[in-house]
Amino acid sequence: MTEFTPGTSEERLVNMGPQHPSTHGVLRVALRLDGEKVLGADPDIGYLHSSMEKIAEKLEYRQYVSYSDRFDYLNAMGNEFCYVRAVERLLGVEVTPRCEHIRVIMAELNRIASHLLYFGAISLDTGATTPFLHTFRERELCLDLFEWASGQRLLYHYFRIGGLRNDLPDGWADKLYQVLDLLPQRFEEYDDLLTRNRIFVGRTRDVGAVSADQALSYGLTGPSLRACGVPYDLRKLDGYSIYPELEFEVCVEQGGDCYSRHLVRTRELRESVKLIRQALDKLPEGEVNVPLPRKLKPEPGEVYERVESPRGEVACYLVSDGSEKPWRMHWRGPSFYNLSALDLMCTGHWMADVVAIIASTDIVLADVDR
Amino acid sequence: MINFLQNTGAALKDWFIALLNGWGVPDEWSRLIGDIFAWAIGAAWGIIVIMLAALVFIYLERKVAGYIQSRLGPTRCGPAGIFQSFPDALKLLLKEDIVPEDADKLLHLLGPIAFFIAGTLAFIVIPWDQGKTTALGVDLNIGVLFVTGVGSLTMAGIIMGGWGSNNKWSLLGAIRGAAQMISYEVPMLLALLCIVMQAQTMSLTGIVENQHGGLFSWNVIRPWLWLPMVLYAISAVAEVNRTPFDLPEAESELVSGYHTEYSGMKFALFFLGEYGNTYLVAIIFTVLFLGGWQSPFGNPDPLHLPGVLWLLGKSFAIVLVMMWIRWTLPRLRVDQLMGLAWKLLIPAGFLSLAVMTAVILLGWA
Amino acid sequence: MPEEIRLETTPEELPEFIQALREKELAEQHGFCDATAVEREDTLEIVYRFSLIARPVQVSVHTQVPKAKPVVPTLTHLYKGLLWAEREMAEMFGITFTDHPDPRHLLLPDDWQGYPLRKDYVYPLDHPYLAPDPLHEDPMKALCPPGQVGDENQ
Repeated sequence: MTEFTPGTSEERLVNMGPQHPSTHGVLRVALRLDGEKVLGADPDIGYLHSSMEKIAEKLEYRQYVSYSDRFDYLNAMGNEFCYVRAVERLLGVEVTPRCEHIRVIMAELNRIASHLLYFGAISLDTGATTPFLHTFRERELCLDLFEWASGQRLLYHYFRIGGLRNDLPDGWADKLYQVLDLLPQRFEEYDDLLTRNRIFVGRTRDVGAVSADQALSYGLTGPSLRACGVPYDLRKLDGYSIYPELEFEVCVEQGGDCYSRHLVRTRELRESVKLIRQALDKLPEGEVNVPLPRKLKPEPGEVYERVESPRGEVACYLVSDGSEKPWRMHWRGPSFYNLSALDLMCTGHWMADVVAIIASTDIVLADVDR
Repeated sequence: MINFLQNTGAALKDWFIALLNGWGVPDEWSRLIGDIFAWAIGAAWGIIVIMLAALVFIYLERKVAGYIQSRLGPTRCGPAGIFQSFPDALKLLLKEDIVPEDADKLLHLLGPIAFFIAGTLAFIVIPWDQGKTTALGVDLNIGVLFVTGVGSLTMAGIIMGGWGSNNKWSLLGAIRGAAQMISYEVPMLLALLCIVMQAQTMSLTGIVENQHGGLFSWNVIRPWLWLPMVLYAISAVAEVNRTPFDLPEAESELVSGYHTEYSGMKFALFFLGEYGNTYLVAIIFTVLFLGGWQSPFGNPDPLHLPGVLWLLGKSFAIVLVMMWIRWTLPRLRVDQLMGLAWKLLIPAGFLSLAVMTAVILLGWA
Repeated sequence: MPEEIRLETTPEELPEFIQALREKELAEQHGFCDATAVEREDTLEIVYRFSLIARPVQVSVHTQVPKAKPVVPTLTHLYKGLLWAEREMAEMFGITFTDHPDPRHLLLPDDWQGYPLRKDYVYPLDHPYLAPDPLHEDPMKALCPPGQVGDENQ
């Protein structure tokens, strides 16, 4: 419980409690309000803590892949990507080119699905209920593709150490081409309905502004950082997997407020469509799996593997002691650091802005709490 | 049709008086009691209208919302779900009435009642058809003033509901609602003042008579009334707390605002009161700008439809437009809402008043 | 692949070391990435990680802290992201960060005893949150009696 001593006689403590339609999960924000003005916002997390890091110490490397899904559940493919890359780096294993292409396609499709959900969520939180249903209609197309390839709609367990569970089914690529042809015009419709809507712009412009220095100090990454004018995109910077061969641009906006973050994500949607199309065109033939021994025992050492998720930099810090179970596994959660800046973003704004700010940081509580 | 109702009303009254006389009540007393009886029926007219309208609107809102959101809405209760309102109403009646432990019980009870009554009272003065036919059989010659006066009583209901819930979120919603309603009264009144100047009377029947003669003499066609029309449309939507002005009950922020802690019949009263207010605003808009019960083809109506049907049709169309707007636009923030009222709409109201005065002085009205 | 620079320092010199880094390796625009702890035999190793923006370079600073007295000066005046990262390390490993402005528990309940991510952590089955509900029998207890395969994973 937070001790509350009011600074002035006008101050009140209002609990935006764990059960609230707009906190995107179980998050409690203790707001200190003066009427409708926010004097301080203190996020209280830990409601979704499921000790993922401790569980990793008891499981073998292969058994943990389905736990890594659940870290940032809207970007399950991306999390698996991060984890299997970390283990493969520890083992010194290189995967086949076809596997790399398919992994990138899955990660980018997941980025589209996640950003569509963000779009729906922020429209719902600012009051327009309709775009939520429209973006979910498109998200269903993506989830249908995932279900066809991996058997699951949300938490896939599709990547394996050294490859994938199975190759893509026949006809999957054609269906994906159809979906990619359909998406851009739908994105235009959503922009018409929300991004260019005068009321929405008024709700999100100059709200929750963060300067680039503050963002770097707090550890913000992803669209929140790119909206401040810092061109930090791990796909371009690190150039992992096959990203160096693909052409895309880093979406950067100035301003650091909710509207800039929104614009970055809408532009990233279109960039992802381009990326998938290129990866699909270049998809080579071949095997997807690399033969590996039954028990995986990497050399003692440590590795910090990071990928670009829709929320920011997801990283897996894996310390191995030579046995078949990890010694220490730590997940760097993008939403953990994005949420720690909430006090900075909310202070001085209206209470109604808190909802818009939380929606625009696009947090997933599972990677805040792990 | 209204003649039939009026005749029925008169016949009922006569029957009641005869009944009382038959029981041996002296004549003046039975006439007096008969009058009170007739007034009671007329006063209940508002409740009857709201109940019927709400039944239709509950279903219509869900269907319209569904189609705008590319889904179907209710489809199971009857063909295309048209009987959906009945199970909805039944569900609300059968729910347990939960009152929070530390809540102010009296205010918790009075809030929805005040809200509902304020909404129903205004239906008494609306002209339903030709002649001086309002529900009470008389025309109130300060009809516009009555409607706005009674409509602002809903604010009392909201504040009572918010305070009596012992919940900080409800209180926030109620305070926002009160501030919003006070602010938007002024542009609404300024717009109404222009109409009153146009019709030279405050009685609603007189305003409808002023639009005599078919589509091209309705107030919607007269260019100097376009600004008041826009002003009234925006202010009225803000008065009834519909999106984009539904801050007091913002679902995604305040979990229902001032009616969070209500369930069962009290919530049903808030709910019905809200639909009643929406319909009231639509009917007033029709009466003021779209000619009320007049047919667009001129008087007498070449289609021989009763005026009531024209009134209902037009007001339903306005309600459909309000629903359309609700499901399309995001909601305004509190300070933007206030800024819109005080900085934009009130100066526009004064401007329209000035234009109206000029038009009258120039003799164009 | 990013170039990784690994640096070691002692806990007492940590603030000056990081300050000096900001003039040398981290002189360009850089961001705070992550801070976490790893348990070694007698020490807890704290890792601070930074990343440059313009070039793919990661700088990690490792500090060994004795398990008997895990005290480290705080760095929250330099990087605000450490406000939460240090709170989490404090509750999970038992590390004390001196002069931390807000040393409350972050993820765990306020009255939690023990340091979960240490290897010798014993799960406090007598915490009130975990007490068996006197009103309800746990149906799994009857179906899965103790002494089965997989007990060591519980």
